Amino acid sequence: MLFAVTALSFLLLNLLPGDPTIAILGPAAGNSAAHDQLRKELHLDQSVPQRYVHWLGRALHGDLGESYSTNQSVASAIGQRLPLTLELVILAELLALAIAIPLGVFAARRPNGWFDRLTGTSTFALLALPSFMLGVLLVYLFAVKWHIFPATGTGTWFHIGNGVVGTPGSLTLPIITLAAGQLAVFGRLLRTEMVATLRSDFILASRSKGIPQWRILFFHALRPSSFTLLTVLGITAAGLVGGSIIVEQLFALPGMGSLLVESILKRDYLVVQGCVVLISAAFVLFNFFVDLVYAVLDPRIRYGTVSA
Amino acid sequence: MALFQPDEATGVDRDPEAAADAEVVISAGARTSRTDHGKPVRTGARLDIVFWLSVLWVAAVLFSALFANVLHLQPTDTPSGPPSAGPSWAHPFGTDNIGLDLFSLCVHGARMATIIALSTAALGIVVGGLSGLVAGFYHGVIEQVLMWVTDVMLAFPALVFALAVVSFAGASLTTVVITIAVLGIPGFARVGRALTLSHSQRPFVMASQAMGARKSRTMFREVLPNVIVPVATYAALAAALAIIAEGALAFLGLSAPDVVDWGAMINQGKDQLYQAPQAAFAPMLVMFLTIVSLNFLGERLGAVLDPRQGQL
Repeated sequence: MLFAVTALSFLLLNLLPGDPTIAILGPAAGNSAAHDQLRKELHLDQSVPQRYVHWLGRALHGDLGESYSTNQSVASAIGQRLPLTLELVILAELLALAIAIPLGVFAARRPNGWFDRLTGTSTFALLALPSFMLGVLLVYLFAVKWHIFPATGTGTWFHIGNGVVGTPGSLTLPIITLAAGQLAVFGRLLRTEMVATLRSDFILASRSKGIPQWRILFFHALRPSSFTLLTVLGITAAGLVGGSIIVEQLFALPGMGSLLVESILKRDYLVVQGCVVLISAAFVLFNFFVDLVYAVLDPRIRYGTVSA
Repeated sequence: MALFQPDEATGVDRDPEAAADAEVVISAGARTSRTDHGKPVRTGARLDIVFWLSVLWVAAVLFSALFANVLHLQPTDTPSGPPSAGPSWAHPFGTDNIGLDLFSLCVHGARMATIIALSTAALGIVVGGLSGLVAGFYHGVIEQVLMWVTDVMLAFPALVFALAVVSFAGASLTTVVITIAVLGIPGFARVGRALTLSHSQRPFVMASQAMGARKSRTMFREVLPNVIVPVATYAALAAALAIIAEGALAFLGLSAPDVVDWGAMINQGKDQLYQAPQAAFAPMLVMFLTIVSLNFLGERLGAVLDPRQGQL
């Protein structure tokens, strides 16, 4: 699967129209010697499968090629940028879950009650507020209006944290921005599932045994309700990666996302390729782990009685 | 329990296809559920005032897209007022930091949003809906291959895909529109397949086959009319997603160049938050309302047409 995805993204990038050498050298360098030499350097004179095998062989040794504009190796460029993005994405996901789970559970306690309707409306609104809007809104409120988070006084609020990346203050807004979209999806989903679970007989049985409400909600009903959430966790991680590209760009955070955008703007072919392939690989791995967690949560999968 | 009148419930004009959907609609209208207290609460879909407001807003966006050039608006490329001015009669949304009229820009930006929304809906319904129909109706290898492709496409980070395509093929209007429309296809295929599966065992389909109709005839004459309307409803949700995706591209400065675009306006506005916050907030408000309206349309119509949708 991992190979399939890297091969697919490699193929995709290579089958697209447009010659990266023209992008690098400019259209004037049509058939010049420099053009031919660059094609050789990038192995563009070989066929696509040949290039893939070549690239994969080197990639397995940790060599993703060199950046055309900085001559830095792609692997080390990504290595520098990756930790920040990971921190951002993981913290955002945790924050989203930490808020969405109690929200979904309490909303499901009384379907159509005031809390349910309130969370329903606000998550609906959040869904229509993509990260590039929410981020700008948060910057306006917290940095420009209320000065809660630092904004340099020159009119550019870009250097939040003054280049000191990873300080809590500088990552707060990006994490909230990133978490909000996930939160809305998770909360709505969990609520729907919980409402269904709470109607089942074993909940009625627990109630009749006099088990306290909170215990039923969080110990009895939450686990069987969490499977769809888990699936969606895997799927929406895609949105999270996209969101982190936006957020890093918005808050000028030097992570993978901004590396990708910078490389696209600089037409740095190999860096873009490395980023895209790495992201897709990370994605497959993440979904694989989600499958493992399924088995932990649902014994029926472990014993093979459910064909998942 | 007569909770249901077809015309009010669907809100669409009577046409032959609507009649075929009556059965589905009945089950939607009769949907009730009970709360903890055993009090029956009607959760079936209603087309309320918010629904019609959404229709109105989407109509306004379409109108702007069609007539942006004909209306006597301020120019979008030359300053027409004082820089960083607040809302006034001459400039309803105010002006940005060089004096461009934001209202006019927002109206012109509706064109890009409309192009993206319509092309995504069209390509999605035709390609995605059809492949979903085929996958759901002919089981076996076709279904497996189509669904595998769909799953891979759905799982891959859409923005990364779009960025990759745009970076390698160049950011032109055509590339952006096609890329975003293609990204929408798997969602349509999913919905189309699910609906087809739910219809393919219904009595009228079996009757058609029992009478000796060819599979393709059964699929197009019996199943398709029942699938097409809910799929078209999903198009509203997909259009909202497409507008968000294009907005994200434009926000990164990687959408079609030289086009008035809400996402690009937000991108420029974010650098003017001190002097002219309206430069970011005007397109944000317009885009937000458009997305909310489309989501609302999709969800409400979906709930009316298919009881299983619209609960999420």
